[in-house]
Amino acid sequence: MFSLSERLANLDENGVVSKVQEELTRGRQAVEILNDLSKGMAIVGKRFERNEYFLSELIMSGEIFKAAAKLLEPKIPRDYQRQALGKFVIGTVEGDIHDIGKNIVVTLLQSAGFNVYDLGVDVSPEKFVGKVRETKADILGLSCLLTLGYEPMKATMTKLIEVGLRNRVKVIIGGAAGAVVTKDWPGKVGADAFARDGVEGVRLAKMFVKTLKERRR
Amino acid sequence: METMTSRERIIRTMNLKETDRVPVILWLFTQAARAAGISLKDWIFDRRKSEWAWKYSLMYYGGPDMIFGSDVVYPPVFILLTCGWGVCSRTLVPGVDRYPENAQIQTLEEPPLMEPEDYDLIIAKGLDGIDDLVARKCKKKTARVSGRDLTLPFETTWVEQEFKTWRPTVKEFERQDIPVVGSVTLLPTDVLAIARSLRGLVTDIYKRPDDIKKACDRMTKDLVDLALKFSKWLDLQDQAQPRIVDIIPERSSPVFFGPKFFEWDILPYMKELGRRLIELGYCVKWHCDSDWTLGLEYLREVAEYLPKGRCYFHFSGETDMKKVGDILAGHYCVAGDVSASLLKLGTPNEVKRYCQKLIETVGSEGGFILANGCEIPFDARPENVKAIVDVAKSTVRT
Repeated sequence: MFSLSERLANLDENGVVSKVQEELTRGRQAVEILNDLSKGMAIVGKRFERNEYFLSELIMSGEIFKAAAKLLEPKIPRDYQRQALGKFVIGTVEGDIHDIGKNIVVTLLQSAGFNVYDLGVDVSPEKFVGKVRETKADILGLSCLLTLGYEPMKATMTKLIEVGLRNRVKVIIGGAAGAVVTKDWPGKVGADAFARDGVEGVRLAKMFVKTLKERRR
Repeated sequence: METMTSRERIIRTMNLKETDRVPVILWLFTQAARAAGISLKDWIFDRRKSEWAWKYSLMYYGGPDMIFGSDVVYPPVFILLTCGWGVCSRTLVPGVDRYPENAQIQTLEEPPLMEPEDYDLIIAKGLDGIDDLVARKCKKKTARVSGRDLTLPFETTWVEQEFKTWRPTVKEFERQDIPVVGSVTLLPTDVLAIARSLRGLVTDIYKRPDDIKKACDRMTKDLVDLALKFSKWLDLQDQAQPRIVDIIPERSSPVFFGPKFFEWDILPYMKELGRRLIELGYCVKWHCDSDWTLGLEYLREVAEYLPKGRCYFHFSGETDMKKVGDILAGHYCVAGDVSASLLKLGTPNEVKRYCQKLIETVGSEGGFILANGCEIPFDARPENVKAIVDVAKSTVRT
């Protein structure tokens, strides 16, 4: 009999849903069940890194995670604040309306335990900076599929410096699986790192949050 | 000194024979507007300016060895398709609504055109089923293109006429012995990935795999017919070889669906579409969009299945070209792959260095066409695009 994490890692949607329902009926805390789902997503990420899973498996696991999380949502106490790993503001930069990759990253971040503020697509530098300030975000993620994303990324970085937030937030950029946003872009736009895919994005985000927390201690 | 025509150069390269220099091709698309200094809005909506921009940019860049018919026919047709296919979702068209005249054309794929229950329609009617869906779901009923209000979905007669008006221009190049890629089609899986959205198709893989297979089987013949139709509209059905159809496996790379799905629902259709088109007298350009590093052995399998010298693989800037050199180069013709990012942010010297390295890595034994990766973006620097042509022309044997 597979555990909930294993079922999610094996992309067994029916198995996940029935197990979640079964555990809720047994009286298990929704928060504990959510943690098991997160562990399942972490296994998916590892399989992706080992080339055992591909983009389709990342998407499917995200769909299953979302379906299961929906069942849990009403059972999670309103005042419960999940012990978030960190706050992550993300969006597709101004002028670009592509969001497939960005949406995958959002689900991966949520399942890893981040509080994610998804601003959607065609997001202006002002909107990014405003949200970083409002949420006191740890990390800002800027995404684009087209080369036209370069200028708005740079403008967002400039804006962060102007308002004095640059030192308080780490910035990860990515897009088109490394075809458009490449490893030399962070140096050119002034970001901290480039993520080739969502799994790498989550890994970098965890690393940055750890560093930030150590620095703030 | 150059001793071959572009046609000879391309045919010999596809057959891995020695040429007077490395051939070069450019997929200009919106870059034509940039080089000629017109707006993207005019490139799409003003037929006269669009044609001028295309001819000017070819002259400016020094004349590549092959021309893409899609570069000229697409602007107005593309906008129609954007309005047609993007009926359910947001589209970004330059100069329309709040978007600037040089905004890049984009379409969001969600919500999808096709729902899970629509598989029956595709299985029954093939590609015509997609047209039915557009007709059923189309919110905007008209689109203003080239000064005319067109009723959506596709006014096939208008698209056909649009193609036909380009015949004299296309013939001009043919007469100069510059081959024109006159036709384009998709793999069945890519049609589904567009119509259902990537997310939709992924969930279908797990929930209704049999429907996917039946829909792909049903669409295969239609996709061959589509290629023939485009070719006929441009009057290129009898053009001298290489009579190339551009097949675009946009989301078919194993990086999307993994090897298991690839072997089951992509590889067989690559072979089948390729075989049918080649039997009809065509050659195939496989536009290997996204990262194909994990799929190079499959591409070799496709090439081995098809008659020699009748296809080539064009990489878009994401595939590991060193591995292309190891697995395909020297045995099968390959092309590529100067990336959009380098063309925008690099310098002419950086582009030249990249091209020279590319020739050493994949072109040392011939069978290599130097080219940009995917379409050249509007914001690529013209001097960088020119650098690609300069490198190819500098390889002339003395």
